[in-house]
Amino acid sequence: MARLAHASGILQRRLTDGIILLGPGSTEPISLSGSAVVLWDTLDASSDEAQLISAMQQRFRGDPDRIASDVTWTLETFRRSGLIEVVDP
Amino acid sequence: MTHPVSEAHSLAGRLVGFDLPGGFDPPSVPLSDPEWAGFEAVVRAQRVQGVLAHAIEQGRWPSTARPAGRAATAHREAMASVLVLDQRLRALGPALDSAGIRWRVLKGPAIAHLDEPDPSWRVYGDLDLLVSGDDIAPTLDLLAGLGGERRYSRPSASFDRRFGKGASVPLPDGVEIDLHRTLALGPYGLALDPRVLLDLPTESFEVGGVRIEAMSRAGRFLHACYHAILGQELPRLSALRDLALTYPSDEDAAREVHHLARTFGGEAVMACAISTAASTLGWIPQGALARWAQHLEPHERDTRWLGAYRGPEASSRRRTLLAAEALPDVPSRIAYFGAVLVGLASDRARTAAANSIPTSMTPSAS
Repeated sequence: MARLAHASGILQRRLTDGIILLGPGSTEPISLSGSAVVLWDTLDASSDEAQLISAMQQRFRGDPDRIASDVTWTLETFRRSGLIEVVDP
Repeated sequence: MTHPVSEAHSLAGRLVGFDLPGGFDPPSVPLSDPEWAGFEAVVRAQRVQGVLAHAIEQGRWPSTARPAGRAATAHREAMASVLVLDQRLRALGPALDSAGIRWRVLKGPAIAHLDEPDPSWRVYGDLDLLVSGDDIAPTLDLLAGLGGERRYSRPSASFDRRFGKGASVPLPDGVEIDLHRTLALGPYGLALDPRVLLDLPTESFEVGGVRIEAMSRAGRFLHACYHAILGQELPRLSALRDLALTYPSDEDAAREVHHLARTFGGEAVMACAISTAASTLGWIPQGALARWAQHLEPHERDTRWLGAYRGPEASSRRRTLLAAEALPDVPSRIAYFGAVLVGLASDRARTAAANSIPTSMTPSAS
């Protein structure tokens, strides 16, 4: 599975209730809070989507299938916003 | 003219001392709704949303849930704007380097990354860049290539190169770039040799993977002093916080800063700035520099010069006239007034041309 990492050149600031990010080439900052911040912080160059889903399922209580779909949806949002990139294994 | 300070402004001053020695005097109970409204407006105007958000989050500024939520939202919105500025800075840096322009970033981004506990504490609304007089024109050309158009009239290339403070250039995306050749308008700006500023040691930080250079802490401190005292009648609270954050950390640093201020002819400015920050923020600066500032009696020249920036006699005309006193010789003064007159004539011609356009031909508002 493709490994994912934060895109290079991300601009960010820590907020008191989350973080705010601006991807390279984007004009619209995106703010993250709650579990989205945890996902962002968990994501590094050694992660693929399955590993991230597993990490979030261990971290949070709730329906595992629901957590998996939330992670997938959030990663897709990150992708569309230019915040993450696929890393060659 | 002395500006009366509102209750809300005084309260914001007490907030801005947060995390500074001696500063910070929060209210004992949360503000009432009307008090919050006035206070929030001042916080926004003074660009201290970051300080408020963190003070509330750390439980150090009493607040009920709704104002705390609004403070977090205001901080988020301010940081969104800051990221857009950082994005522009990240693109500009390499462009300036490629053009062979020597530059330093001033104020907001430098203080955010080098002096605040975290960059999210410092809000800024534009980008301030220091360049040499010779590089004002090439930098303006570079910014024009990005669609930027100088905000105010251009006196002359010679004035820009030798005497001007700088130029403001808004870009099409709304980002404003303020170019600085020196630290102030008027006599204090001309009294210092701007080449010294660019020759100061630098400190660097990264913005989106691009290395950005700022002046040393001593340079940042002195600039904050100049900006706070000579920039506007009522010093912006963020500028006072900047100077408190960059205040010399030991006696060696204090001696370095004092020497620099003396070289610049700005000792009275520095003393006034330290005293003003202390009285406004409740900050207690330590060491010999603070004691010296407290007891300094300004020379007659400084009383005259400072009066051109602050108080009932302050005016742009007075600063323009007194600026000549800062120049070293008669030829410089002749050149200075010549450039000023050229600028005035150019302004008049532009105004006359604008007034001569028939009203049927003036563009209508869209």
